[in-house]
Amino acid sequence: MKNIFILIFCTSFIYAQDFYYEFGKKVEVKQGVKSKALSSLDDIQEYETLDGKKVKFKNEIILKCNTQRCEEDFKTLELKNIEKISKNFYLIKLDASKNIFEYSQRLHNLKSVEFAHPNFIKQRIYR
Amino acid sequence: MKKQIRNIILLSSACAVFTACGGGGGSSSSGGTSNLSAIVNQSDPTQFDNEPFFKYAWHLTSKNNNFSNDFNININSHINVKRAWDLTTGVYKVGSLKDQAVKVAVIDDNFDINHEDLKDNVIAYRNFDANPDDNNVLPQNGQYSHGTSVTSFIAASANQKGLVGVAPDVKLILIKQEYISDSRTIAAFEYAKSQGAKVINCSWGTANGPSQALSDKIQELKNEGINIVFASGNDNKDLDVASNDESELDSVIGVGSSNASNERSVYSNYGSKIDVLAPGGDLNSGKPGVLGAFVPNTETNTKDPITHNYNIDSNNYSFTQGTSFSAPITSGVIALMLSVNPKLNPDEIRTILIETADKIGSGTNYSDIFNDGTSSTFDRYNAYGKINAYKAVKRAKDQYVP
Repeated sequence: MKNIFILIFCTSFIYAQDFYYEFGKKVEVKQGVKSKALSSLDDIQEYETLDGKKVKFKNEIILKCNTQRCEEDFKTLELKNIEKISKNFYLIKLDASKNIFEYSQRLHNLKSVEFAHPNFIKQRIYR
Repeated sequence: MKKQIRNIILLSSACAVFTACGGGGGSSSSGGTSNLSAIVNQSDPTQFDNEPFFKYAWHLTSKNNNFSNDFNININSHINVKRAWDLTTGVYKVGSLKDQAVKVAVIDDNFDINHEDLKDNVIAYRNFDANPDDNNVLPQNGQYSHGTSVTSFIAASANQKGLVGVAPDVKLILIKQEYISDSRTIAAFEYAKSQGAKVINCSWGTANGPSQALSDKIQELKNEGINIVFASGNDNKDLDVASNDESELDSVIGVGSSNASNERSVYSNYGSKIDVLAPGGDLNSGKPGVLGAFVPNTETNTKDPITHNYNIDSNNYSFTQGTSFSAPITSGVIALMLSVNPKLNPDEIRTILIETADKIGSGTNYSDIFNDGTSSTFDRYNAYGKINAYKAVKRAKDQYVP
């Protein structure tokens, strides 16, 4: 019995614990390495999705509201660093104590939010 | 009393006149942001042949000169823009913006806004790599400037220097952004819109394709009447196979490359979501690339041999290749179309482009595979064909209803 519990405990670390939603689908990730951003003040987290894509982001979420009510909802989640970047688009900067996946999910599940996912950082490929 | 009333009327009129002359709003044109109206004097297309390097611009018009003969350039490899210039060079011909220039935005790595062939057409520029954004869009010393080359294909000035772009009288909004997050990219697109851009050129992609946020933002811009053009990429890749590329979005015009043999460039990405081809050259074929503006830099070392051998001695121009340059050629054609019919929405623009495109390529299989309401046929490698600027602009003009 003890061995079964140990096996289950170890197995729980093999599968991804973290996920976000994008295009209506759940995207699970495994953590990669932390890398320094251009600015020495912020860290960029790098993850790998289960289908092998590398994704990078800071502790920031980008979301689109579908009603004005979402700004009220931000307050109930005690989110403070909020920037409106465009009509209905917001950037939420989380402090270090808040887990980006937890808050991506919570925001995504709000009725006033159309979608919420990490604020991806990407390398541009010039053509 | 009558005299007093008359004086009041005169004084009120004077105040109205001085208010109307108070400027177009916005900041000084010497800064990075400007809302100055883009009323322009139109260029004379009959003088374009006098641009020193116009003879090398096989992508614009047919050539029969030493250069074209040396490389056996296919006489039909151009986009037929010379006849389009008889109709417009990028200044609105009708509508409330008549005599003003169409505004085109370019989002790219950096820009030499002092380049002799670009500086007269730049009305706004902004650096979104900095946060908060600032006005520094110039390449660093020795840095390659992809953005300068791209922009020249849209709107190199008709100024008896260098070459001329597809739409030499449009005005340019240049947006520097290399190190990108979704939020900064959305802010960059929003800036383009705020400056009045009707076309936004994006000669780039990303490894994983657009996020939901960026896809949504681009759709929003399209819904607001802004045309967005993406280059398809240079890996000879079938984008239908496990790909999610920006050029495949339904809300953009996806552009591949054709070469001086009037065939698809061998490197050009293809697939069912790419709309049209435009010249991008193909140096590997032994024929020239396309000639654009250039910034001397250490990354690309010397210019390519053809540039050198044809004594394009100025350091400001070079042959190059890539779907990066097919996209701005298409952006320039879209600007010409809007100038004769500003009422066209992006779906109508796309329909005209694909229905007037020239079917090119040997061994192709154009067929009506989409049943998408257009009257054009499609080939997986060559899309709907190579854009024909004259046919597209003529169709746009003919469809205009005041």
